[in-house]
Amino acid sequence: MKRSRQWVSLSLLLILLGASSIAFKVVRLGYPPLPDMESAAWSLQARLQLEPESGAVRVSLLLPAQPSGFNVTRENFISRGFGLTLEEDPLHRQADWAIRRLREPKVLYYRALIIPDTQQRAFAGRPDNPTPIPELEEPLATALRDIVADVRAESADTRTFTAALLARLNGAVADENIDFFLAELDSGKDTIDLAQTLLAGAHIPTLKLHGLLLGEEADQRVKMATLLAVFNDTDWVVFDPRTGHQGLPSNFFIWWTGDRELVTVDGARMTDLQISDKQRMKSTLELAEKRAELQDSWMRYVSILQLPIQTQAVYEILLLIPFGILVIVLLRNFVGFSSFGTFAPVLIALAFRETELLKGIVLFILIVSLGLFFRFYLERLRLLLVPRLAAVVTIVVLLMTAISLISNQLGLETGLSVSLFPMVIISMVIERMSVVWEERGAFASIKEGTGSLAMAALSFMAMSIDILSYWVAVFPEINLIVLGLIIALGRYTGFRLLELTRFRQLAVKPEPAK
Amino acid sequence: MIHRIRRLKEAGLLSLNCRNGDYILQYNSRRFYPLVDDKVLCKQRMLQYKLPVPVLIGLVSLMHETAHFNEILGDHSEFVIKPAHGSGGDGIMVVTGRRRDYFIDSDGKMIDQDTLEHHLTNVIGGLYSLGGQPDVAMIETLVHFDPAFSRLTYHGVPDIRVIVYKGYPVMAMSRLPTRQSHGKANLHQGAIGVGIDLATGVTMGGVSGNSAVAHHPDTGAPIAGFQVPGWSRILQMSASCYEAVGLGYLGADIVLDRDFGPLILELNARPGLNIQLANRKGLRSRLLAVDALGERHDSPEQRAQWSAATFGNSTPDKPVNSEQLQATS
Repeated sequence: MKRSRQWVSLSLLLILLGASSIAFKVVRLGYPPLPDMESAAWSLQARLQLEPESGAVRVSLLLPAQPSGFNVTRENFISRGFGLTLEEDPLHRQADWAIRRLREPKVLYYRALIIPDTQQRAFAGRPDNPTPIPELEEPLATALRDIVADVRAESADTRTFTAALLARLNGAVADENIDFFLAELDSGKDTIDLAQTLLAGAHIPTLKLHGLLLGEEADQRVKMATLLAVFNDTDWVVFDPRTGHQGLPSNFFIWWTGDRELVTVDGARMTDLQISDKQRMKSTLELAEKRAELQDSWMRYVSILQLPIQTQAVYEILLLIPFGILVIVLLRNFVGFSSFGTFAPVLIALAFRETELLKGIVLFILIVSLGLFFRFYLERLRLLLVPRLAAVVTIVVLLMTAISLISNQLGLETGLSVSLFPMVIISMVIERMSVVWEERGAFASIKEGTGSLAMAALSFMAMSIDILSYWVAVFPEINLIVLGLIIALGRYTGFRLLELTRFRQLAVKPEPAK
Repeated sequence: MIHRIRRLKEAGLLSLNCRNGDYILQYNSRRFYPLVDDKVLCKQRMLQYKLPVPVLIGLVSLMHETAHFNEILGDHSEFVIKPAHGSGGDGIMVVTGRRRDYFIDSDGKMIDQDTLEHHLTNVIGGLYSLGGQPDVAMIETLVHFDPAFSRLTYHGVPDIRVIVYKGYPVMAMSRLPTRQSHGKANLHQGAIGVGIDLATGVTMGGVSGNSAVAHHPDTGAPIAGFQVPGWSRILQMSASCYEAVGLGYLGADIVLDRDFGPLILELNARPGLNIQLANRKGLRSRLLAVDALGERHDSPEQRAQWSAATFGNSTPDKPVNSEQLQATS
């Protein structure tokens, strides 16, 4: 009982391990489960044009820090003549350019590749202190209290409070107190600042999110947008202050947060700031690898794509063998086929990869039957076993060469792909077939040979499923699942399919006991 | 199909996977395998336990010894060449006589010295051994089968296969050579399998391949109803093999010699399943019946008696029910 449970748990463990590793790669790192998938990525560019004024020049550019839902990679700065320092904090990054003297107009560039991430990240921590009520002059202070009281009466929590307030601000709901505020508003100030003031009146922490909607206006001067985040005691909730829409749009790329300016310039005049984004289609696989690298996930090492290219080619075949073997296990222990040599069919199947199935079968039959013919002749020479086997191998090699030469003359390509044909395996098949031929007759021998060939063909078909060769390359751990299955099959003690026919006579109804 | 699976389960059919997984892997310790896979060792063991075997004339283990084959052979004119590690009857050559420089095989064909020596080198080279390792050729005395069997055989020597589980004989059959099997008692090669009533030693119907046969195809004699002589001795001998080689699940191959009575020809650690077809009965129910006995320390004689009393034809096997199957798995 104990032992029987052990194989179940081992098999389940292996299958689970393989499956969860694959699931992690697909869901968390975004590895594509299908080949040739493409995903959108964006090249982002900030272009700063400077005119000299006087003295030393300092330019600061805020950099994207932890944009929720995106990864920033391949950042580069084009700024000849300027000294560049980077300031890096988890929630705040900035580039500082500096030059002692600026003699002529100059353009600075910041470029980065933005790739979508599979998870949302917090764009800000918890606010530290309770937000103080802004100190306003009368009559604005009273108006503020009135607005807060009115809106609070119509709302249940922070989220609904904010929604109701924004509705009033945008004129969807008429409110004379709001109009009073709007009238007082400086022309330079935005409604978002007003919203922040009003929300502060209700002790609600707020944060501005500056960024752009990726993919909206491709390859053009992009207008930065600002969203308002509101803290509702547990999370930040995002609102569009102009429309009142709630939630962070999935293509909104948060560049920076808070009240800071994107660019600050000392000692020069910025004549132009141009932000542009350009959508680029990239292989999903490439993006996933980049992402794994950025997140420093060890999972990225579990892929044969890390290996040198020649080694990859070998492993793409090697990692497929367990699938071919799984087919052999099924055919032998579930169906009841028998073959020459336990896994010889898999090796023959590998040779079919070079030749294609039908041509491979024709070649196999051709070589084996010619080899058998010579083997029977060798039998008459009374050679000892090992030299005879060696002679058969040599004859097989010569036969293969002859087939290649002849097919080359005839302009057939198949004969040339014969090179990987496993000649030793074929020689053993020839030897076994000839023994069976003598001991049990031609029929048994050909039957067993055909069985081997059929198993090789089925095994080949399993191994040539396109998606499998992609999977083993990207998810080599899929073979853990195969191993788990093989172990599970290893304790199958039920009937084989062919046994149902073989023992059919025992299936008649037993006579009633006397 | 589901229906047939259930029927076969009820009939107690032992499947190959089940034989391998639940019996051979569990009860046949690998360290005992050489005792049966190497027929020379096996013969020594049998002699140690005072079990009768055909006499070993000599061994040929080196290539150059094949040239001195005649010296090893002495004046024996009837003999059998066997690979010590052979399986399934492959590589066995039966010589029934000599005429001048020629040997005569069981089919009556003439074999010259060269052919015989070549066969010996093939055996030594490992052509017939498991895994192709170098092997030893055994030369044994030819068994003169009991004339009682003469109407049921064509050339060759009929043998009796007894499956012994934990020392209890559980099923038996006789294998009758035919013209098709070239005198070999091997079901794969076309011999007829005949079920034997364990209680009495009387043959029942036979099978050739997978189909039932009532008469021997070459002699025309009816197959059923034949009394195997010395049956209780055969049961005891096969039961004793358990002590001799320590395998919990084995097949004992026994021949009846005209002069020496039953002889143990060889033992098999992975006996085939066709015996179920020959007996029209599943092995599983009988194996479970032995399991139900629990731990007992019976002598081979007691075990043979128990088996004869339990597995006779007059007491039908209990159908296997699912509880029993679960209890063992």
